[in-house]
Amino acid sequence: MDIEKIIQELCSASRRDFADPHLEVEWPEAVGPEEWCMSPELMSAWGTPLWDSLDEPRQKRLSFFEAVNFFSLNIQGEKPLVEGLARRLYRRGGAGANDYLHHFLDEENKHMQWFAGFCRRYAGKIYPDKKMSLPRTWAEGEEDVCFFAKVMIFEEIVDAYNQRMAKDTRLAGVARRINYLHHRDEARHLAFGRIQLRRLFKANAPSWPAGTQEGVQRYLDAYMASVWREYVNPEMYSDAGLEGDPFEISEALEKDAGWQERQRDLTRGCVNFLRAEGLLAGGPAC
Amino acid sequence: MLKTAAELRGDLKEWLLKKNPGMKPGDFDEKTHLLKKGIIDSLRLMDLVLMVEKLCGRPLDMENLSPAVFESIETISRRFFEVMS
Repeated sequence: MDIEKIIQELCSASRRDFADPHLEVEWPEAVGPEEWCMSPELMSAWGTPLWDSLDEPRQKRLSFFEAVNFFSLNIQGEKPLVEGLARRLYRRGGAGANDYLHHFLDEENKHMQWFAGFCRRYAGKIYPDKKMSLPRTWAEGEEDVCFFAKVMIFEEIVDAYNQRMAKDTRLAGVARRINYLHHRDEARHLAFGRIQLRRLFKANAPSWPAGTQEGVQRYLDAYMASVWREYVNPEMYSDAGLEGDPFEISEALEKDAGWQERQRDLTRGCVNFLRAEGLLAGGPAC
Repeated sequence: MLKTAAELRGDLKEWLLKKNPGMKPGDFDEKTHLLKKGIIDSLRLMDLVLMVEKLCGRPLDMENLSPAVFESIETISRRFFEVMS
């Protein structure tokens, strides 16, 4: 199918789902301690001795802070995304994509309002971003390829959570609603991201100096690991009142085989795409 | 018991060596520029932040930090470890 036509269809879908961020979510006064805010099976401690040591009220309390962390890292991931998208607006040669970039920016801005609405209302805080950027030199088009590949990795992971939690009737209504709204828009962003990433990579990679593509593969592999590290943020274990050193808890969970298996499960589609395109090293993920 | 700044610098160096298996203790010292020497890169900087938080036993105030603070073991120690001792 023609790429420009797909982009125009994505624009039509964005206009159809156009939302007023102030009306789409009903905010209860509080989220009750008897409610789940994350699906237990998606939580970092699920299936570990730590999980078994917690009674249900404490598991639910941890689910609240894991949700605050999940929504916070969405905000922290979308801030540089918005900056990067704005920088790419009206660049030469991007005619068809510009129309969609406006929707992308608009929708990401709304997502941040919903995520921040939950974190600030119910937890009084947004967990800070631990990532820092260093200036570096790029080959022609390499920065664009890495930008859209990182967007894709970040969004595919959060969307895997959103899809599952949007349907989970155990969750507090407001948490389920935010997951649903985010997934509704992300499905389009992911489709656009794959088109844009493939197009940029094909246009630029053939002229890259030797070793650049391998450098990109290592960079994206390390990026994916850093994204997952944010899902075991020590601060949320501390806020949830878990006993023990929160840093030790985080490190132990990061090494847990069950958690690593869930990561592989949630990123399988994304990893297979990136490997098929030559943006990650290795064959298809099992 | 709280560790001294010198002990924390030692722990940090040990961790950096673990993250760079090809390096030996004599390959860098407390003044070595970790970023220029390639001991830490852009994406590993987050790991370093988390390690410093672990050594300090508290989260860092990220809004007021620049990568320059993490230039060397010495700059990290001055900013985070020595104020604890």
